Amino acid sequence: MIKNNSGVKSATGLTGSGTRDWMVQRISAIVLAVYSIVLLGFFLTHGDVTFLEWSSFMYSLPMRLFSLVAILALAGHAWVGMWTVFTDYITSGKMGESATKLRMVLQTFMILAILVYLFWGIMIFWGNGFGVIAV
Amino acid sequence: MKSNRPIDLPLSQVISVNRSPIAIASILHRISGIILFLLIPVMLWLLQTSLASPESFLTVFDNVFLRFLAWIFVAATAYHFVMGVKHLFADNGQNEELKSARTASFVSFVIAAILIVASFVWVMF
Repeated sequence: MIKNNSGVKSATGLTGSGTRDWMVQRISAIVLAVYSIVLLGFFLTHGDVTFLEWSSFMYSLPMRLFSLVAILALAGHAWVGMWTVFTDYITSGKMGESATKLRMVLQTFMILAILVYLFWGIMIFWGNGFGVIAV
Repeated sequence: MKSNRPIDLPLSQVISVNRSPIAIASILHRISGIILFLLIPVMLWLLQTSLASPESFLTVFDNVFLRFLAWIFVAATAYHFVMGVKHLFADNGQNEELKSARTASFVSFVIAAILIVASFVWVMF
């Protein structure tokens, strides 16, 4: 096993600190858990949900704020989670020397995807004329 | 400290050796997380479309295929949620011994299975 003395723990982790990534994972998990329960509660109390009920609930100020926090939590949670999966399985020990390159490429796409989802999610709740798209 | 423990076993070998419910609960937690990550764009699109207009709302809620995709997301969320809670208990030092961890995994499987089946009936019908 090669010891890492570079001073850089991980270039592709979320915060550059394992402890902080760990905390982000837990806090975001709790935010997302509460958000899921709130959505579940809405659907359980609205049997045959109508567009008006759904949109007035989701576009109410509390839900727009909570959704913003949940999207931020999702971005952090997904980043740390996918980083963990990539660095556990796509390693040179498991796959040979090409693993590092492959992992960097995958992580780059993962980070780009998260940024797109983050801004897209914010746009849905806070965009100008939010939600108006042609179907 | 010198250790002769094998490191970097291929995942297939790890799974073939370790078939305890603890290990299976753990790897499925990761797999469900990957599924959720891949389905984020689908769910954002569904969310945006369902909120855009009464007509587009109906195209989402009346489409069996889209409902099925939504169920996959709900099922993966349910599993990931239950195992995540188990994880938070473990962070707190609970259910970390072999026997208690096995019991916790088994209980989590049962809860997750109930939620997954219930959500299928609920989302699809």
